[in-house]
Amino acid sequence: MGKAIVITSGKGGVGKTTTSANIGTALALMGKRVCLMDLDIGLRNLDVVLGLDNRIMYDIVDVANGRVPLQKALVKDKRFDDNLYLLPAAQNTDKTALKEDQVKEIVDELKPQFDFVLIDCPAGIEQGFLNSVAGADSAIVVTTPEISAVRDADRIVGLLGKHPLKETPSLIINRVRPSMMDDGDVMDVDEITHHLGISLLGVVVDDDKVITTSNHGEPVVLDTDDPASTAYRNIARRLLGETVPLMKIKPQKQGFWSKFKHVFTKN
Amino acid sequence: MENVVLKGTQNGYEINISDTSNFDSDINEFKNLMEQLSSGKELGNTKQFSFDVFTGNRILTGAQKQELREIVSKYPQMSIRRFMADVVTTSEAYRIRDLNKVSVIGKTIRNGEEVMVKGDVLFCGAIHEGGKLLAGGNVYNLGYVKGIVHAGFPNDEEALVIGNLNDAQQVRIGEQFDIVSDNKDRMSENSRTVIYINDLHTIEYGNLDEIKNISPKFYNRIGGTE
Repeated sequence: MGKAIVITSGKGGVGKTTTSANIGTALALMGKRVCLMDLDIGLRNLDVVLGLDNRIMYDIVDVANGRVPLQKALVKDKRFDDNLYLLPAAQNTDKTALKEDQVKEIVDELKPQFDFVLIDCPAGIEQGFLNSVAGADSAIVVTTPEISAVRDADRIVGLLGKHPLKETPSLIINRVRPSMMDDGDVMDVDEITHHLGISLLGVVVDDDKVITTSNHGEPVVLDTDDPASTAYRNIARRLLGETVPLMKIKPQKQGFWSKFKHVFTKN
Repeated sequence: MENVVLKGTQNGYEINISDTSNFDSDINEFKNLMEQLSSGKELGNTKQFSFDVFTGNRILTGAQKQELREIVSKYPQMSIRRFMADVVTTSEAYRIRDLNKVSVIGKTIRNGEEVMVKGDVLFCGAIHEGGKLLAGGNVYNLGYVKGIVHAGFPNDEEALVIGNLNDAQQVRIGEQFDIVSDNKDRMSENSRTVIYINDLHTIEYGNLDEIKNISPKFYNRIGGTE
């Protein structure tokens, strides 16, 4: 029996979809069978990030309404043998097209067939959020070091506390810019973790490559040398129960010339 | 008083019911005619007698047709082949018009939008990724398609998609579909690509130069000759 994990944040644009795609891909690369579920109905993106957007025939609303069997709506990612599947969101309707029990039913049908069911939650705390957490066993809360994102994450942790899942939620701090954290311009990792009071699953540095790879429909974890890629792989390993120490976040040392430039721009 | 008349035509027998008379009195005349025919003199040796019912400038309602059928059903050797009239209802006329017209569409169909059209479509607009154009008939594309085109919706496998669809996500005809990026090499770069369903019920890419072989029916319709 697999495990259903919802990836949520409250705030939009912090990287839920990117995180879902990358953790899912990392787990699939480690030989686990993974199903990614997109619940951002009406504004789906997960298919685009995975490069599967032109293969969609049916979607989760078709399944929920009994128009097609679940297997027919699953889109297989050919790059990972039989390990990675996507259940796409519908695009021509909105979040209210689904109810919690319908989603739960689908998740329960997926769990025996996969090792992990990753649920990509939409932004907000309305129906889309309720649907996403309905079938989940645990939650990953994604935030960035910005105050507004942490505020929203705090709200989400509170909501998850009111209706507890089987496991307590864990935290991913995304888009960390080491130099800013070092200078004290933004909250640092310990501060955020302590403030939210949930266990830290991983820290991902802000990396241009995450965007360039997403634009080509290839999650960044496929690039083995990249720091963000390593972070996502480590998160996947932690999900499998391994103890992996946190990566050192080093600010890039300023070279002589950039220091030189800095002096001038300051004035 | 002859409002219901039996006629012989090239296509067999036909019973004409006048469009100016009262239908109730027509029914009685019809009954008498049936009785007369079944007694056998006019029919001679014909064992099975089937005929059309022609009503001129009058359309019979479902109930009226049923009434006539019930009368006929009393005579096992007789049957009504079909009902005919010189006129159709406006709704039927609209349906026929929509079925056979070519709609010109020039709008932008964006992500998540679906545009459904009954007949053929001459498409001059743009379909963005995630947009969908569903046509009951053929789709002739002069626009820019990056989304999904569905011709012959929902299940007409004789429909064609003609034009440049190299950048489309999917092409669907009837119940078949194809993911275009898997078959880029099979498409010509110009707008003379014809996408159709072959004898094996899969989507096939051809060229307008071969249209005569691909769809003789369409070739005749657009004025091609032997």
